[in-house]
Amino acid sequence: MQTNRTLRWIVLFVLAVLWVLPVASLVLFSFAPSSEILKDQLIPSNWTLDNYWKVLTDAGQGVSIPQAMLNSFVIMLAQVAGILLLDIPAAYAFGRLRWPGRDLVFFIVLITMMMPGILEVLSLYDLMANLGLVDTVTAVILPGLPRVVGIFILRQFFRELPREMEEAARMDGATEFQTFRTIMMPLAAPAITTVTVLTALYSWNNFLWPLIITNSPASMTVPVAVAYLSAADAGIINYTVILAAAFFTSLPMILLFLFGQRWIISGMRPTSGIK
Amino acid sequence: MSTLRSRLFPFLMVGPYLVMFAIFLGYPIVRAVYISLFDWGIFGPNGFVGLGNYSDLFGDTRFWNSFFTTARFALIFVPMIMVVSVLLAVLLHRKLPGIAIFRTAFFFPLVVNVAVASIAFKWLFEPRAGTINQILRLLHLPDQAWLSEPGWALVAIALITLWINVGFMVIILLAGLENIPDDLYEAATLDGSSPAQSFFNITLPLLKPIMLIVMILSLIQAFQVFGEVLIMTQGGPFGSTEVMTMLLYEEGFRNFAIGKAAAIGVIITIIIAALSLVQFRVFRQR
Repeated sequence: MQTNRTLRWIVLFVLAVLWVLPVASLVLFSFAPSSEILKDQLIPSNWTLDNYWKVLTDAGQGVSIPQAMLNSFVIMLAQVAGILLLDIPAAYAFGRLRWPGRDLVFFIVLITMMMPGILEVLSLYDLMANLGLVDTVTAVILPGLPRVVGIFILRQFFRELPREMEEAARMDGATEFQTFRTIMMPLAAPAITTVTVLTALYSWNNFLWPLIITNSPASMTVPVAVAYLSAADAGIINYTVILAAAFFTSLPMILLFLFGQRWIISGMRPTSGIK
Repeated sequence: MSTLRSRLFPFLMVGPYLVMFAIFLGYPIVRAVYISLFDWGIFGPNGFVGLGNYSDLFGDTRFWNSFFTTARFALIFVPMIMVVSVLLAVLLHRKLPGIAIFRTAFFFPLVVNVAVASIAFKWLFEPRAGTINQILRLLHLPDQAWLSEPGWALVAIALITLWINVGFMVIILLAGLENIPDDLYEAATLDGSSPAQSFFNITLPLLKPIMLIVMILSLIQAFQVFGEVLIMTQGGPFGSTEVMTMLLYEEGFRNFAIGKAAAIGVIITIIIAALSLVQFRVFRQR
């Protein structure tokens, strides 16, 4: 039994080292002068903060990382607020209220979850062009708002709340909205936190749609800006700055992970919903 | 009066969401299908062609190349993520010193976006200075060109997709493992069953439904892989990583053959829908 545990530990350790390797190498060389790259070494022998200074001032290719961070923060706040505002009442209606057509409508909403994002972007681009919104932060925000995952998680949660609570409220003469607002919504706090964390994550990391709809540094999001830097790279000389940009722009999500890991995991468990 | 209000109430609650859903999710999907029936260029429709875009694609070697590249990618990626995620879930299921750190190592990539992950792996696979070739040289093994070698590029992309997604699969599998009662293992141990025997006789059979879900989810991921390809290889070298999503991107956003691109999107959707249908059936059986 003891050897079994030791063996498990060793296998896990080796795999964990492999899993950390890509990020470790990225972080190490993001603190190295670019001349270190060609020295055939696993760990740089000289250290500098120059790459981070460049990330903040002039990352190259006309891309502004601080601007992209600002854009991504604005988009994240707008999408988290918008999604909670839309999803909480809608999920309550889907999970808790009776109305004609409910199950059919929910089925249609659910079906779009398995549509590949790349199918939608072609006509979304067209739609944004007609609205005159191409290359704006607004155009990045809007299509994220009807995202289905939050609806799914919250509906599941509302469905499982005990009946007695709302019946007691109704006996006290509360209107339906009061019941929802003062009794049911506070109970859903854990599910709401999960949706908030997952939305923040999605919003910051979403790549495809922002890539398609933005093309100027003024409206680019973080992953798009980082991808631009990387794509334009001619040789490996500028690599250290790209690595620094990649790490620096991931810091907010690393913080979110450190403090919200359990919400992320609970949101991805099959009982609460699928990614 | 109050009954009218309570009848309207659900619609007031769900209405705002459904409006946004219809405009930004429902309409674009329906419209993409509509566009796929037209010769549609940068300035809009040039004429209705019915299923013409589809029959063009079925006669196009580049399309078939992208289809088989995607299928090859799935054949590399799906078995790989199945084996690694089941292994990790079984290893992470029970307590062990430092297990929280181990879990963090595998779940951490869930918060790394595809652009950053691709840069990390591009750096890892960099032929001259990249960590992998450095290690190979230390071991006196021949180094590889990785991303610029047709034989290796798709494998490299499967590795990064594995790195990003394995945490999600492990979360699903761990939930499945929790549902296997401990008494089963205890009884088996009392009967003299070794850990390996317990794994094959108890864990695998009882985990099978969840493993099937993981398999279908990873198949769906395989058919949707895009960002990694765009950043790491742009479909190259020599089209060896040009998956269907990459071809759609090229046709739609570089050649402005939007009708054709939409048709590729519809084909990908049909493949994914078929795979998801299997998944729902499995769910219902449980």
